[in-house]
Amino acid sequence: MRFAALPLTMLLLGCTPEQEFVEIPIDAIAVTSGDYDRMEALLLRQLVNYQLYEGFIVGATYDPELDPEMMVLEVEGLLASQDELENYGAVFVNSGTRGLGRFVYNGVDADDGLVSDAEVIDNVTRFVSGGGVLVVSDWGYDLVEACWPELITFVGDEAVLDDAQRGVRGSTQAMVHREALVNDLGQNVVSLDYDFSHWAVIESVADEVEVILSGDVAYRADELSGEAELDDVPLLVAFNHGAGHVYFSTFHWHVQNATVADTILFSVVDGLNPGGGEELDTGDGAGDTGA
Amino acid sequence: MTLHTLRTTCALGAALSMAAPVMSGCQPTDTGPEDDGPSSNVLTLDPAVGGLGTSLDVRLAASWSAFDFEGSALDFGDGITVDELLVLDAWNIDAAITIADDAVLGARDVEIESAGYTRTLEEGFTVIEESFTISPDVGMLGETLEVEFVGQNTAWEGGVTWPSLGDGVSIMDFTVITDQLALASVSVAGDTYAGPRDVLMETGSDVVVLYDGFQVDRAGLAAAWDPAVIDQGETVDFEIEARGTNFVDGETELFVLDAGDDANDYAIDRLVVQDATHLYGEITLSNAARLGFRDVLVSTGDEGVVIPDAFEVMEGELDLSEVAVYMAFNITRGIDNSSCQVAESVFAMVWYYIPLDPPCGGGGSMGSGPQPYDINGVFENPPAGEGGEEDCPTPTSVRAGDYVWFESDYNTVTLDRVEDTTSGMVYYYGFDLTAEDYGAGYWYDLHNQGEDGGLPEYTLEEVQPTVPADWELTSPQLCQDYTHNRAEDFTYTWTLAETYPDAVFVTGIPGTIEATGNGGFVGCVPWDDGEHTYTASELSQLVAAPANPYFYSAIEGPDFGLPDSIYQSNPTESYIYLSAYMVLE
Repeated sequence: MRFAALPLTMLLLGCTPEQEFVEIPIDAIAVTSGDYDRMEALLLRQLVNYQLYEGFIVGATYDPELDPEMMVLEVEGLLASQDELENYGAVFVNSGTRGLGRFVYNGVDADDGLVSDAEVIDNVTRFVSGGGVLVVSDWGYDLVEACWPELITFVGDEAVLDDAQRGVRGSTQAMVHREALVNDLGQNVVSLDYDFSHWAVIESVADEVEVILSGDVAYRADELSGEAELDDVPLLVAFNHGAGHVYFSTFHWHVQNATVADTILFSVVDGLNPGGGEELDTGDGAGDTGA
Repeated sequence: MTLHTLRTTCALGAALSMAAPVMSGCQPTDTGPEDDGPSSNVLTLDPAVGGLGTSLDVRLAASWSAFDFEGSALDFGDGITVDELLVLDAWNIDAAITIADDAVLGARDVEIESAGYTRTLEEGFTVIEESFTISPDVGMLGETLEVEFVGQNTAWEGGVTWPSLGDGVSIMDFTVITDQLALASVSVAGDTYAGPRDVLMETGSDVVVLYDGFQVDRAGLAAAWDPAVIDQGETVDFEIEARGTNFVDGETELFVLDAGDDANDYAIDRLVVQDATHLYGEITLSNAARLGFRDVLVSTGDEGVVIPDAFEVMEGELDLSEVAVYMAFNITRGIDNSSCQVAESVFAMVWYYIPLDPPCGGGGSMGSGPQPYDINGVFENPPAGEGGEEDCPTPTSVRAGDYVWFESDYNTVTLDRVEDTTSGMVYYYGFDLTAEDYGAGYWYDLHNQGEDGGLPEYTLEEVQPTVPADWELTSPQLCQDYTHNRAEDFTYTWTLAETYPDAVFVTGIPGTIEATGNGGFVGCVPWDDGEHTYTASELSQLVAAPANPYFYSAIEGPDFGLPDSIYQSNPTESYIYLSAYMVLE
């Protein structure tokens, strides 16, 4: 099911001159499928409708049986088209979405088709400034870096795609900084799992970026040295751009404790409406069961 | 904000051996009277199985805020100790547990105390008898690595036990060291998907599974090869571009693989490492290189990256100026020790082929031996070449029609085409031939039918000789455990083989030379006068033992070649050979 374009005026109404986070109902959500994360699993659990755009580099690691050929829409058709983007109030870019890296992960072929496309970068920044919500996880970081290079400082050489992908596989305890999220969780500490190595590590953020979760992490400082540690670095961040909001997670959402992940996502991303999609039709067949 | 909680069903723990869930998820039984949690609350334990005598880490996860940082405890029952417990947050607890050697097998309840509650995960954990670990348990895409399997209560057997690491992870070599220790060389395909794999260890019908036991990491070694196509016999420059590698000049090696092993049909003429991820060089493929796609392994110390289907070997064009011929036409006889009957077979073969380029296998030393004529002696067998026999590809065969004929004034022998799918050889062979088909003392023409795309029809005159005359051993009767005292001379007689001046008659008794312990033989090229004697002094140099004496007449063919071929000296031979049995005492 495709969604009608949101009235631009409705989106703009939610934007204040101070660029504060103001909740706007998100009535239409696009999700790009990626090899490593599956944020749509959280939306499904909370009965939130979305439209899936096939974006696998190779295929879903969480479901090798999944056939990308069965998906009609593709990520290029979303991010490279301003008209297509305008159909949505929020875009979720899963880790492992193609076109956002230096190389495909299992070869030496280039995979920068989207992130090196100036039109895509312009489309995305205009989408957010127009009131859209952009949620990006892990290996999608190159898109955030390309659109807003001054806001988040990733480890490594920021001029080189994928260079921040140095995180070590494992778990870490994260401090919760946003008060509302602490209240929703009932806790100020959550454990985060990193199911793959080479996750994108943040070193620091600009003042206008809100750190929602932070923690100590292990990473590879360079190819030759062993593991190093960074203390209390951002793990989940958010910032405003124009009338919209951007959320970036260093972790994969679908591998976290489901209750914790759902609580964080729906507490943090303003405008998500649990239970909004009573008759789910998500373009991937997953919503047909309603669960 | 109201979140929806999805209900999950309770999964029972079960034996790890096949079809067992690794995660136990149950609605817990709450014993705390003050518990007012929703009935849909779910606790999951992962893994939910463990082997006797092992230590492992488990994760207890709750679907609600269930755990306090202080005062939480887990109880797995008798025989399982909780060595360490770490509350990660209100939803997750990690625990290190040890399962005693004598713990009771089967499913058991797990009790959780936290936040004033006591909860029971009914049959939440299962103790199994056989288990194993694998180390390392992570491999990068494109990586080759050595892994160690350590079993607990396993009974692994060499040649019977075999592991499987799932999609895209190949077992290149596997060795069972003991019934509880094994090593494997594994290769992670560069183009497989990243993620966890179940590890299976199969010993006959016994299958033990380590769920999610091996992780294919998403960032790995990768390399690309250029050019994509190489012809048989071609010498080309190549380039490799890689990432994640650490190429080192003088240390990095390159192997072209064939069925996972180093192939025998190529030579790396030059290899230059430019930097950690780039190298170039020159490769020559044998003109008999196997056709099809070939993997390439680039190895630097412990690091190895496989480039799957790096290039395709294409068939080189047939060059008639490079075709050689092998021919043989022989009679082989043997005296049956029990019945004293002589069994006989006649062998006729022609093989058109393209000699290996670059050459392979220099052939070992011929050693010393009797030289014509009437030279007797005791000789050691020539030493085997260093490193054993050289592994060479099978030269490319050339078709010459459906039939080849040996034609002479005596008769015509028809040889049928044989295509050996195993070796790839195409040759011509005479079926159901008898001694009547062997015209002793004749020169045969080689006549091939010819075919398009192969050799045209040729008749090469008088290129296949036969020995001048048939002959037979007349005394002694070497059968029924004929025994000879080495301290006495051994005289044998035969009907004349008429070998002068073009052929030879050769006899020998193989055995072990007493003085050196090495293999050897008493040998002779006697005057073809029908009688010869091995002396006691010769025979006594052999160790007393059963032996297989042999006698043969042989003739070599002339230098010849196919028209227009550069090979004008082809191996041709013919002999009549007799073997028997005797005992030297």
